[in-house]
Amino acid sequence: MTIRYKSDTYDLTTSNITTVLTCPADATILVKSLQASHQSASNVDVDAYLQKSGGSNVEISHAQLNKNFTNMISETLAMEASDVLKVQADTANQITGVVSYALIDRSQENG
Amino acid sequence: MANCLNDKLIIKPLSDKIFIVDNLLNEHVIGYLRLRMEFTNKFDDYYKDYQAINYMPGKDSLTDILEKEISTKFKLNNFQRAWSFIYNNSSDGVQFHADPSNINVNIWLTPEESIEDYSKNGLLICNKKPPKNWSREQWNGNKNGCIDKFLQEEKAEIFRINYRYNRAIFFNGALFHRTDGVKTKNEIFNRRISYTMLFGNTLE
Repeated sequence: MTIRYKSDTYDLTTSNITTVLTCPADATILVKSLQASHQSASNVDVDAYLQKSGGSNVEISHAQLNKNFTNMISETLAMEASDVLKVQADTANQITGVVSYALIDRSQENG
Repeated sequence: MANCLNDKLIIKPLSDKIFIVDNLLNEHVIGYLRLRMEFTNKFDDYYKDYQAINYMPGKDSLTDILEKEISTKFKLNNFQRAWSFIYNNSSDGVQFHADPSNINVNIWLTPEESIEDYSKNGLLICNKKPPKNWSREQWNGNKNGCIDKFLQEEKAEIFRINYRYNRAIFFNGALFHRTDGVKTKNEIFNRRISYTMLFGNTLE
Protein backbone atom coordinates (compact mmCIF):
# COMPACT_ATOMS: atom_id res chain seq x y z
CA MET A 1 0.00 0.00 0.00
CA THR A 2 1.34 3.41 -0.97
CA ILE A 3 -0.25 6.57 0.39
CA ARG A 4 0.47 9.89 -1.28
CA TYR A 5 -0.93 13.16 0.05
CA LYS A 6 -1.93 15.48 -2.77
CA SER A 7 -3.88 18.61 -3.59
CA ASP A 8 -5.28 19.94 -6.87
CA THR A 9 -6.63 23.43 -7.49
CA TYR A 10 -9.58 24.27 -9.71
CA ASP A 11 -11.07 27.38 -11.30
CA LEU A 12 -14.70 27.35 -12.42
CA THR A 13 -14.46 29.44 -15.58
CA THR A 14 -17.90 28.33 -16.77
CA SER A 15 -21.19 27.54 -15.05
CA ASN A 16 -21.03 23.95 -16.29
CA ILE A 17 -20.43 20.93 -14.06
CA THR A 18 -16.63 20.62 -13.90
CA THR A 19 -14.52 17.62 -12.95
CA VAL A 20 -12.04 18.39 -10.18
CA LEU A 21 -10.82 14.88 -9.32
CA THR A 22 -11.01 11.42 -10.89
CA CYS A 23 -10.00 8.35 -8.93
CA PRO A 24 -7.62 6.12 -10.94
CA ALA A 25 -8.90 2.63 -11.77
CA ASP A 26 -6.26 0.98 -9.57
CA ALA A 27 -6.56 3.23 -6.54
CA THR A 28 -8.73 4.51 -3.73
CA ILE A 29 -8.92 8.17 -2.72
CA LEU A 30 -9.81 9.67 0.63
CA VAL A 31 -10.82 13.31 0.23
CA LYS A 32 -10.19 15.40 3.31
CA SER A 33 -11.43 18.72 2.05
CA LEU A 34 -12.94 20.41 -0.99
CA GLN A 35 -12.48 24.13 -0.50
CA ALA A 36 -14.54 26.61 -2.51
CA SER A 37 -13.78 30.31 -2.34
CA HIS A 38 -15.59 33.40 -3.64
CA GLN A 39 -13.88 36.78 -3.36
CA SER A 40 -16.70 39.11 -4.42
CA ALA A 41 -19.72 40.40 -2.52
CA SER A 42 -22.44 38.64 -4.49
CA ASN A 43 -24.31 35.41 -3.95
CA VAL A 44 -22.98 32.41 -5.87
CA ASP A 45 -24.50 28.93 -5.46
CA VAL A 46 -21.99 26.08 -5.55
CA ASP A 47 -22.78 22.37 -5.76
CA ALA A 48 -20.50 19.36 -5.41
CA TYR A 49 -21.33 16.08 -7.14
CA LEU A 50 -20.01 12.54 -6.94
CA GLN A 51 -20.34 10.36 -10.00
CA LYS A 52 -19.85 6.69 -9.14
CA SER A 53 -18.22 4.54 -11.80
CA GLY A 54 -20.84 4.04 -14.54
CA GLY A 55 -23.40 6.11 -12.66
CA SER A 56 -24.80 9.61 -12.90
CA ASN A 57 -23.98 12.77 -10.97
CA VAL A 58 -25.30 12.81 -7.40
CA GLU A 59 -25.26 16.09 -5.50
CA ILE A 60 -23.42 15.64 -2.23
CA SER A 61 -23.23 19.20 -0.92
CA HIS A 62 -24.41 22.72 -1.59
CA ALA A 63 -23.24 26.12 -0.44
CA GLN A 64 -24.04 29.75 -1.13
CA LEU A 65 -20.93 31.89 -1.00
CA ASN A 66 -20.72 35.66 -0.65
CA LYS A 67 -17.20 36.99 -0.13
CA ASN A 68 -16.26 33.89 1.87
CA PHE A 69 -15.16 30.28 1.54
CA THR A 70 -16.32 26.88 2.71
CA ASN A 71 -15.32 23.23 2.89
CA MET A 72 -17.84 21.33 0.78
CA ILE A 73 -16.94 17.98 2.44
CA SER A 74 -17.53 17.98 6.17
CA GLU A 75 -16.57 14.32 6.67
CA THR A 76 -14.04 12.22 4.77
CA LEU A 77 -15.25 11.25 1.29
CA ALA A 78 -14.08 7.84 0.04
CA MET A 79 -13.74 7.58 -3.73
CA GLU A 80 -13.47 4.17 -5.35
CA ALA A 81 -11.98 3.23 -8.71
CA SER A 82 -13.10 5.60 -11.50
CA ASP A 83 -15.36 7.70 -9.26
CA VAL A 84 -15.41 11.38 -10.26
CA LEU A 85 -15.76 14.44 -8.02
CA LYS A 86 -17.26 17.49 -9.72
CA VAL A 87 -18.18 21.06 -8.83
CA GLN A 88 -20.57 23.55 -10.39
CA ALA A 89 -21.25 27.23 -9.73
CA ASP A 90 -24.24 29.18 -11.06
CA THR A 91 -21.94 32.00 -12.18
CA ALA A 92 -18.76 31.66 -14.22
CA ASN A 93 -15.37 33.00 -13.11
CA GLN A 94 -16.35 33.46 -9.48
CA ILE A 95 -15.30 30.27 -7.70
CA THR A 96 -11.84 28.80 -7.19
CA GLY A 97 -10.71 26.16 -4.79
CA VAL A 98 -8.60 23.19 -3.87
CA VAL A 99 -9.25 19.52 -3.25
CA SER A 100 -6.92 17.82 -0.71
CA TYR A 101 -6.77 14.04 -0.62
CA ALA A 102 -4.82 10.87 0.01
CA LEU A 103 -4.26 8.64 -3.00
CA ILE A 104 -3.89 5.01 -1.94
CA ASP A 105 -2.57 2.45 -4.41
CA ARG A 106 0.12 -0.16 -4.91
CA SER A 107 2.29 1.91 -7.27
CA GLN A 108 5.51 1.88 -5.23
CA GLU A 109 5.39 -1.64 -3.86
CA ASN A 110 7.82 -4.40 -4.63
CA GLY A 111 6.77 -8.01 -4.89
CA MET B 1 1.04 -5.52 8.34
CA ALA B 2 4.14 -7.51 9.23
CA ASN B 3 7.70 -6.22 8.87
CA CYS B 4 7.04 -2.77 10.28
CA LEU B 5 10.73 -2.10 10.93
CA ASN B 6 13.10 -0.95 8.23
CA ASP B 7 16.19 -3.14 7.76
CA LYS B 8 18.44 -0.10 7.18
CA LEU B 9 18.43 1.37 10.67
CA ILE B 10 20.98 4.02 11.61
CA ILE B 11 21.54 4.01 15.36
CA LYS B 12 23.33 6.90 17.10
CA PRO B 13 23.79 7.05 20.90
CA LEU B 14 23.50 10.57 22.32
CA SER B 15 24.11 9.58 25.95
CA ASP B 16 23.68 6.46 28.05
CA LYS B 17 19.96 7.29 28.36
CA ILE B 18 19.22 8.67 24.89
CA PHE B 19 19.75 7.21 21.46
CA ILE B 20 18.48 8.06 18.02
CA VAL B 21 17.31 5.56 15.42
CA ASP B 22 16.87 6.92 11.90
CA ASN B 23 14.78 5.13 9.25
CA LEU B 24 12.98 3.12 11.93
CA LEU B 25 9.75 2.27 10.12
CA ASN B 26 8.86 1.03 6.67
CA GLU B 27 7.00 3.51 4.47
CA HIS B 28 3.67 1.68 4.49
CA VAL B 29 3.59 1.79 8.29
CA ILE B 30 4.27 5.53 8.36
CA GLY B 31 1.61 5.99 5.69
CA TYR B 32 -0.98 4.26 7.81
CA LEU B 33 0.04 5.97 11.07
CA ARG B 34 -0.26 9.35 9.31
CA LEU B 35 -3.46 8.49 7.49
CA ARG B 36 -5.44 7.74 10.59
CA MET B 37 -4.38 11.00 12.20
CA GLU B 38 -5.00 13.09 9.08
CA PHE B 39 -8.47 11.71 8.42
CA THR B 40 -10.01 11.12 11.81
CA ASN B 41 -12.88 13.34 12.90
CA LYS B 42 -12.55 12.44 16.54
CA PHE B 43 -9.57 12.61 18.85
CA ASP B 44 -9.31 11.30 22.40
CA ASP B 45 -7.71 14.47 23.73
CA TYR B 46 -7.84 18.06 22.55
CA TYR B 47 -5.12 20.42 23.74
CA LYS B 48 -4.50 24.10 23.01
CA ASP B 49 -2.73 23.56 19.71
CA TYR B 50 -2.48 19.82 19.18
CA GLN B 51 -4.68 16.73 19.43
CA ALA B 52 -4.05 13.11 20.44
CA ILE B 53 -5.34 9.58 19.98
CA ASN B 54 -4.57 6.95 22.63
CA TYR B 55 -3.58 3.42 21.69
CA MET B 56 -3.78 0.97 24.59
CA PRO B 57 -2.40 -2.59 24.49
CA GLY B 58 -4.81 -5.01 22.82
CA LYS B 59 -6.98 -2.19 21.44
CA ASP B 60 -5.11 -1.30 18.27
CA SER B 61 -3.69 -4.00 16.02
CA LEU B 62 -0.94 -1.83 14.50
CA THR B 63 0.27 -0.76 17.93
CA ASP B 64 0.32 -4.43 19.01
CA ILE B 65 2.42 -5.37 15.96
CA LEU B 66 4.79 -2.43 16.46
CA GLU B 67 5.16 -3.27 20.14
CA LYS B 68 6.09 -6.85 19.28
CA GLU B 69 8.64 -5.92 16.61
CA ILE B 70 10.22 -3.01 18.52
CA SER B 71 10.42 -4.85 21.85
CA THR B 72 12.05 -7.82 20.11
CA LYS B 73 14.51 -5.75 18.09
CA PHE B 74 15.55 -3.45 20.94
CA LYS B 75 15.05 -5.85 23.86
CA LEU B 76 12.35 -3.76 25.53
CA ASN B 77 9.62 -5.09 27.78
CA ASN B 78 6.54 -4.12 29.78
CA PHE B 79 4.83 -2.08 27.09
CA GLN B 80 2.38 0.37 28.66
CA ARG B 81 0.68 2.34 25.91
CA ALA B 82 1.11 4.48 22.82
CA TRP B 83 -0.21 7.79 21.51
CA SER B 84 -0.25 9.68 18.30
CA PHE B 85 -0.21 13.47 18.21
CA ILE B 86 -1.03 15.91 15.44
CA TYR B 87 0.03 19.52 15.91
CA ASN B 88 -1.30 22.74 14.45
CA ASN B 89 1.02 24.19 11.82
CA SER B 90 2.22 26.65 14.43
CA SER B 91 2.26 25.21 17.93
CA ASP B 92 4.15 25.32 21.21
CA GLY B 93 3.76 21.55 21.38
CA VAL B 94 3.93 19.51 24.56
CA GLN B 95 5.57 21.39 27.43
CA PHE B 96 8.17 20.00 29.87
CA HIS B 97 6.92 16.87 31.60
CA ALA B 98 8.08 13.42 32.63
CA ASP B 99 6.39 10.12 31.77
CA PRO B 100 6.12 7.09 34.06
CA SER B 101 8.26 4.93 31.78
CA ASN B 102 11.79 3.60 31.54
CA ILE B 103 11.91 3.94 27.77
CA ASN B 104 9.94 6.30 25.51
CA VAL B 105 10.05 5.69 21.79
CA ASN B 106 9.10 8.93 20.03
CA ILE B 107 8.80 8.64 16.22
CA TRP B 108 8.32 11.52 13.75
CA LEU B 109 6.11 10.80 10.75
CA THR B 110 5.77 14.01 8.73
CA PRO B 111 8.11 14.42 5.72
CA GLU B 112 10.83 17.04 5.96
CA GLU B 113 9.45 19.02 3.00
CA SER B 114 6.53 19.92 5.29
CA ILE B 115 8.82 21.71 7.74
CA GLU B 116 8.79 25.52 7.68
CA ASP B 117 11.30 26.25 10.43
CA TYR B 118 14.13 23.75 10.80
CA SER B 119 15.20 25.30 14.12
CA LYS B 120 11.94 23.91 15.56
CA ASN B 121 9.95 20.68 15.46
CA GLY B 122 12.48 18.56 17.32
CA LEU B 123 12.64 17.38 20.93
CA LEU B 124 14.36 18.77 24.05
CA ILE B 125 15.38 16.29 26.73
CA CYS B 126 16.84 17.30 30.11
CA ASN B 127 19.29 15.25 32.13
CA LYS B 128 17.05 15.57 35.18
CA LYS B 129 14.30 13.36 36.61
CA PRO B 130 11.68 14.59 39.09
CA PRO B 131 12.40 14.50 42.83
CA LYS B 132 11.17 11.24 44.37
CA ASN B 133 8.48 12.93 46.49
CA TRP B 134 6.73 14.64 43.56
CA SER B 135 3.17 13.71 42.58
CA ARG B 136 1.95 13.01 39.02
CA GLU B 137 0.38 16.49 38.98
CA GLN B 138 3.85 17.88 39.49
CA TRP B 139 6.05 15.75 37.21
CA ASN B 140 3.50 15.36 34.44
CA GLY B 141 1.38 18.48 34.86
CA ASN B 142 3.94 21.11 35.89
CA LYS B 143 1.73 22.14 38.81
CA ASN B 144 2.37 25.80 39.70
CA GLY B 145 5.30 25.84 37.27
CA CYS B 146 7.26 23.45 39.49
CA ILE B 147 9.12 21.80 36.60
CA ASP B 148 10.35 25.11 35.19
CA LYS B 149 11.56 26.21 38.64
CA PHE B 150 13.19 22.84 39.30
CA LEU B 151 15.06 22.81 36.00
CA GLN B 152 16.33 26.35 36.59
CA GLU B 153 17.49 25.58 40.11
CA GLU B 154 19.15 22.36 39.06
CA LYS B 155 20.86 24.03 36.07
CA ALA B 156 19.67 21.17 33.92
CA GLU B 157 21.58 20.22 30.81
CA ILE B 158 19.35 20.02 27.75
CA PHE B 159 19.86 17.77 24.74
CA ARG B 160 18.33 19.10 21.52
CA ILE B 161 17.34 16.51 18.92
CA ASN B 162 16.61 17.96 15.50
CA TYR B 163 13.53 16.96 13.57
CA ARG B 164 13.94 14.32 10.91
CA TYR B 165 11.36 12.25 9.08
CA ASN B 166 11.19 8.65 10.32
CA ARG B 167 13.50 9.42 13.22
CA ALA B 168 12.88 7.67 16.53
CA ILE B 169 14.30 8.83 19.83
CA PHE B 170 14.66 6.20 22.53
CA PHE B 171 15.10 7.78 25.94
CA ASN B 172 14.27 7.40 29.61
CA GLY B 173 10.74 8.83 29.83
CA ALA B 174 11.32 9.97 33.41
CA LEU B 175 13.75 12.60 32.12
CA PHE B 176 11.95 15.89 31.64
CA HIS B 177 11.29 16.50 27.96
CA ARG B 178 9.27 18.74 25.67
CA THR B 179 8.54 19.53 22.04
CA ASP B 180 11.01 22.06 20.64
CA GLY B 181 8.14 24.15 19.23
CA VAL B 182 6.36 23.40 15.97
CA LYS B 183 6.34 25.34 12.71
CA THR B 184 5.29 23.54 9.56
CA LYS B 185 4.10 24.82 6.20
CA ASN B 186 0.48 25.89 6.09
CA GLU B 187 -1.08 23.36 3.76
CA ILE B 188 -3.48 20.83 5.19
CA PHE B 189 -1.25 17.74 5.06
CA ASN B 190 1.88 19.39 6.44
CA ARG B 191 1.04 19.11 10.11
CA ARG B 192 3.62 17.48 12.38
CA ILE B 193 2.52 14.00 13.43
CA SER B 194 4.29 11.86 15.97
CA TYR B 195 3.78 8.40 17.44
CA THR B 196 5.03 7.63 20.94
CA MET B 197 5.33 4.32 22.80
CA LEU B 198 6.03 3.85 26.51
CA PHE B 199 7.84 0.82 27.92
CA GLY B 200 8.55 -0.03 31.57
CA ASN B 201 7.27 1.56 34.77
CA THR B 202 8.84 4.26 36.87
CA LEU B 203 7.80 7.24 39.01
CA GLU B 204 4.50 5.59 40.05
